[in-house]
Amino acid sequence: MKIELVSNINMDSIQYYMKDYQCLNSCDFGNYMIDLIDKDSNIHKSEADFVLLFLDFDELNEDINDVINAVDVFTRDTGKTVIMNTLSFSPRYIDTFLNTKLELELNANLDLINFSKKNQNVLLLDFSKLLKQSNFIDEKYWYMARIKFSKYGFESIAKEVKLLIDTYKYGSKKVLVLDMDNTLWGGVIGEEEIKLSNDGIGKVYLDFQKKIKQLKGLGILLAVCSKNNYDDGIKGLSHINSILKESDFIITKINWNDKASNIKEILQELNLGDSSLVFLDDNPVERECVKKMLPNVIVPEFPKDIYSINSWFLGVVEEFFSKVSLTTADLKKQEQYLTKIERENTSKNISYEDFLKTLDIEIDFYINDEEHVERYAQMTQKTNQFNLTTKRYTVADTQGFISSSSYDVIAVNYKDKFANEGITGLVIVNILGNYVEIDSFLLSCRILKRGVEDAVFCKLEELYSDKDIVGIYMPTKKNEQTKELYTSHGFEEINKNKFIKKVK
Amino acid sequence: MKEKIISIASELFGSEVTIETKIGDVEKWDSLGQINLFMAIEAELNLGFDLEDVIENNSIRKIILLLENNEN
Repeated sequence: MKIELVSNINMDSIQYYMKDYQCLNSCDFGNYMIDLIDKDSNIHKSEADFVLLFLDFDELNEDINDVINAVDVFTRDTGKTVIMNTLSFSPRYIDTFLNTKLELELNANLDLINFSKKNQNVLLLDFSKLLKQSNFIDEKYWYMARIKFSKYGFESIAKEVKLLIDTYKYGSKKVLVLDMDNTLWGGVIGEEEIKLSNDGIGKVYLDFQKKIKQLKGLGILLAVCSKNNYDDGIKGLSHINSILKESDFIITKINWNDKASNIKEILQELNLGDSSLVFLDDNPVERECVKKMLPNVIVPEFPKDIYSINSWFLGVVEEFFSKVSLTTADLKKQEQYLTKIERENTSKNISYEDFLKTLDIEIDFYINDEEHVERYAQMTQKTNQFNLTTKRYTVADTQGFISSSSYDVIAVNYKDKFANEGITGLVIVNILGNYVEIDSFLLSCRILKRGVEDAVFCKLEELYSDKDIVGIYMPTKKNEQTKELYTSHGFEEINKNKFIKKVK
Repeated sequence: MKEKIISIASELFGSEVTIETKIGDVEKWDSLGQINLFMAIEAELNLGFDLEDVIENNSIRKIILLLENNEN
């Protein structure tokens, strides 16, 4: 991956610490303002998708608002993503207690923060946080070679830039799965009084729970995976001091099954891949088991010193749950998954037919209705899996079928207690004397296994009660699942892949 | 000492480095690489050298000699 380095100081040394990146230097540091604006400059033509614009506040001659305007123009012209840093003077001020430098910093950084919120191609990293580390600046090499930072300084800037780009490109992990005993509280619930309180070691766990709750507020899903008796586990979450309640967890696996199997189930229920999950557990054996069986799940080491659990957790959050922006979709995710899980939970323990009854399914048919003709054509274009003939039609084709007296176009509208999925099924029937032939039959994936096919066949028999019905299956790579559709609905195969149901 | 210096240099330059390697032999060991190599050595070993030493000692062998003399 290529990244352009642009700075008002010599930042070239960062290339030694960004090994996976090819660092380019298309503009020299005296010229960066002009190069940002000039459409013919090398940096405009650069192959790199990312630009690191590192500004040293001590050496900055330009007004920050002029820089912001230049970057704004640059991102709009090029579509490249620019990474900027918050501005910090060197940590020792000449005007201590007058706070004039501090005021300059605050104002400039407020402008930068607002800018990065408005311009989606601008990412801002908090340099003041990095600068708090010791041995960050190297005065000798600054005077020797205009290189401002030490090895440690460059290392941590490079690490932060890489984390920011990864977060931007790949997003954060989605689920945090937690053990209970000695993770969410001290001690073993059901055997002793657990430590979860406002003082001593109990406070360590209380603060840890507070942070987890905050993470949930940022749209991260929480789940429990713990070896306890179910009732004991729930008792822990109803503990008077517990900040995390049962309702904060989207899934609670509290049982004696192995944790890898439980985590697999969690992933299935949420329909997520194993690389989207982070698992925290104080027990090294459990961690090892999950790591072995689910190598893509993130399983951080757990601190031996329990007093450091809070700062350790912030490190984990930074590494795996950082986000470059917060969308309303992030915050609604919780509800969406809950609805989905409710739907799936209903499907357990009862027979499938009984489950379908609980969905309150309502199916309506539109016959030769012109209003949704565009939707019909779109479905023929996009549906692959449940599509018996996979014939693709344009809006004009579909309109033609509707107008023709020898075709019927039958659309299916599906609704259940969770959602109105709208028009999600389509049948095109060719009327040919004493029989009809099903030219197209397709259903959207969203409504499969809900008995919709059965309803469609009932409707067809009702509409064409005096005719034989002929169905055709044209195999493709994707529609294997519909191979048996006709034979499982009382049709006889007359030729290969051609089926008939005779009039009664 | 020898191993330590070789490992710092290999890590920094992302290439294999031996006692014989000198400035210009690997892609990243140019004049900027020379300075960064000294920055890394000074940080890892908690030492400080003068500008002349930084510029003159531009091979692994010379750097090891410099450090050995420094110890005495």
